[in-house]
Amino acid sequence: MGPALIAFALVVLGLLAQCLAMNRHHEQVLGGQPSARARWSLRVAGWALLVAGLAMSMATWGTSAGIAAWAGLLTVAAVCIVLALPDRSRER
Amino acid sequence: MRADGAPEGLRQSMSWLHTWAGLVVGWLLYAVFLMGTLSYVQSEITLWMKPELHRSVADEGTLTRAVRRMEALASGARSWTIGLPGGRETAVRVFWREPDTPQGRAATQRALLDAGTGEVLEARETQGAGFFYRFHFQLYGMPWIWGRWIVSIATMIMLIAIVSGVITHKKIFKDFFTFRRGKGQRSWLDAHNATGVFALPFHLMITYSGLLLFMNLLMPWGVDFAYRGDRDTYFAEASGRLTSGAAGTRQAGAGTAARVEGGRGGGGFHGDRDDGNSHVATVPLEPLIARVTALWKADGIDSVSINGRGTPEATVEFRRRGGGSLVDRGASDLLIFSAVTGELQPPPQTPPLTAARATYNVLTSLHLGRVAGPTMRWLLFLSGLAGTLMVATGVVLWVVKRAPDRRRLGRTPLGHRLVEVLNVAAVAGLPVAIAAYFFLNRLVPAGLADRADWEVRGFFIAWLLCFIHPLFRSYRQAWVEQLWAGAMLLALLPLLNALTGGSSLFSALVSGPRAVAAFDLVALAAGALLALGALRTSRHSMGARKEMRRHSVPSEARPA
Amino acid sequence: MSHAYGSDGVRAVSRAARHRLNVLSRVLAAAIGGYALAAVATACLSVVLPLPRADAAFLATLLSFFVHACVVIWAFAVRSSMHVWIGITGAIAVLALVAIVTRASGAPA
Repeated sequence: MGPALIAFALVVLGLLAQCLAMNRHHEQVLGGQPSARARWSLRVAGWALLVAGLAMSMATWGTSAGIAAWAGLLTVAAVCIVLALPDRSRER
Repeated sequence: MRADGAPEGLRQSMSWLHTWAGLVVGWLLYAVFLMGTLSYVQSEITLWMKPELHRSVADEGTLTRAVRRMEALASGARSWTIGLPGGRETAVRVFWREPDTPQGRAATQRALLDAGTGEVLEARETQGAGFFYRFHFQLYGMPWIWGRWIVSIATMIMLIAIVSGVITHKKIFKDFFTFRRGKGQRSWLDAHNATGVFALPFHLMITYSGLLLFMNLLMPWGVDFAYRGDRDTYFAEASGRLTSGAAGTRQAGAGTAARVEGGRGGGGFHGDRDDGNSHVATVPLEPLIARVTALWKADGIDSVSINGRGTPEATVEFRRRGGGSLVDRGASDLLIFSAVTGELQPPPQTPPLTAARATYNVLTSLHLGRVAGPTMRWLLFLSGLAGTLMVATGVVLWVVKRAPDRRRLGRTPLGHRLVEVLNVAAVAGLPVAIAAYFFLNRLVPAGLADRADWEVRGFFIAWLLCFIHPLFRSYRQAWVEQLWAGAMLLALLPLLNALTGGSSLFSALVSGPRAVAAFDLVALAAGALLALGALRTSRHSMGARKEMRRHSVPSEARPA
Repeated sequence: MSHAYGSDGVRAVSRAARHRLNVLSRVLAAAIGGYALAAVATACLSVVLPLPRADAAFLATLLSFFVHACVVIWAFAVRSSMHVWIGITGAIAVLALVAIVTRASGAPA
């Protein structure tokens, strides 16, 4: 269970970083547009975390199942993030 | 595909294709997806449907007890198999064949043993979740080959819908995390996009692998042409029994276990070589069992089989639990001993894996859920749910998107009305029918003959009612009422479970079976979700509010 | 089929009919023509691929659904439905020829 949770956490953080690297969502969560540097850093960090999550996943479940599990974890992580984002449509 | 025949871009033509492909097979695909998703946990569901098995608890002595029981049950049998319970079952599954009986499933005897006492258990006759599983690839009530072709055609159309959907989705990366709530059509579109894109690798995999699993039925022309119709030779060469050209065989060293393709349940059961004449003694199994148990301490033994008992070639096969690699279809280690001498035998040779075969194995293993461990299974289950919701939001979106057209017309055209009725009957009605199936499973007396047929009949009767009901109700009323019906039936399942002989949710959470607890919890969650849907729908304006006001209220009187 | 004179109603009817014909034509081309093309392509690949016969047939069949899907997408993306039919029948003819010639010239079964 432990390694699976770690893989999931890495994937969530990675996707979150990618999310915040987008103008639209950066404004939504943190307020204000991100600088070019912030965007770059968030993207790099995001990819690094996602790759780490993939590595963790492959270490836990083996190569083939690990890649498949990583895709599944991405799905769950994406759903969690989207549901957790504040609803900007109502503010308009 | 514009009605005026004017030229259009790729995105527009794909949007048209996506809409119509999706609508034509949407209701069928929703059922296939939902039934398929439930099939990922069919062992768990079937266990819930057999409360007589809930109190079987395994321990270290389970296997030896089962072996002793087999000596009594199958004393004359040449071959038997004992399948030990893992996390997904509670009872011991045993198979055997009496001497001088023909090969094949019909002559195979089977029984369930209590893992704690070794006693034979009688579970109620039911199709269990096997009904859902078979429905999802060959439907019901028609020759199986028609069912498979219909589902396969729908699957190919689904593949087209996915590809056209991706092509037409303009800002697929930019809109990745976008979910606007309370905005009517746009919210439904966002939900449809999210469930589609977040599990896109899964959707592509499940669709393509579904076609692959029927490839010999759907596309035999390559084989027929290359082999001039001799399919037997093809299958022999493909499975490595014959070598064709460069294909060789792989030698596994003595003492190393061979990986043999995973079977379902009694994998090592060959049940052949039955001449009934020789009576060579068999070594006692307890030392072998102890040796293998120690060797496979972490994973444990999945099954034990004895073949050709009484002959000099008699073998004992142990299959290991686990086998998580998708490349060899979740195959697990196999140890084969001579039943006469107790010596370890060389493992069977497996042909080397081509890249094509490995690809096939990975895709089909994921489709079939040949994965090890609860986490992988949960991930597949949740992805399947995402797919089910993707289809559901799609057909709902079709109606929502055309609300302006209906307002302009002042009425609902017959085509739209048909879609409305089918939407409710399929999307909200199927959960009602499934819940009815579970209710009948517990309410129909366990001893009644044909009770399995009654469960299935009840499912279809409930579903039929869900097709008739929307004809007499408005779109919104039909949704709200069927969603509430589904919500209540599902939420009551844990109570039904406890009152009709199953392990109650509290007891299952404390001492198992884990699968039964999971079923009850998922039923509650599903009920809550449907209830939420019912509440939201009853408050929903159904796209009427803003536009209606603009037409009916004079502009001076409209609030600022 | 277009009318240079007459009421809008007549033009509208012929436009609607043309649209339906267009859709039907592409659906048939994609479904039946596409399946036929995938089948012939599979047969062709099964004998053309430089692999042991069973492996070639297996790989070809594996790819067949991808081929069919591509044909369907193409059938609805192309401007003229006539082009769709010409393309599909042409491809079937070429692939069939290659398949038959390759099998005839290869080692006997």
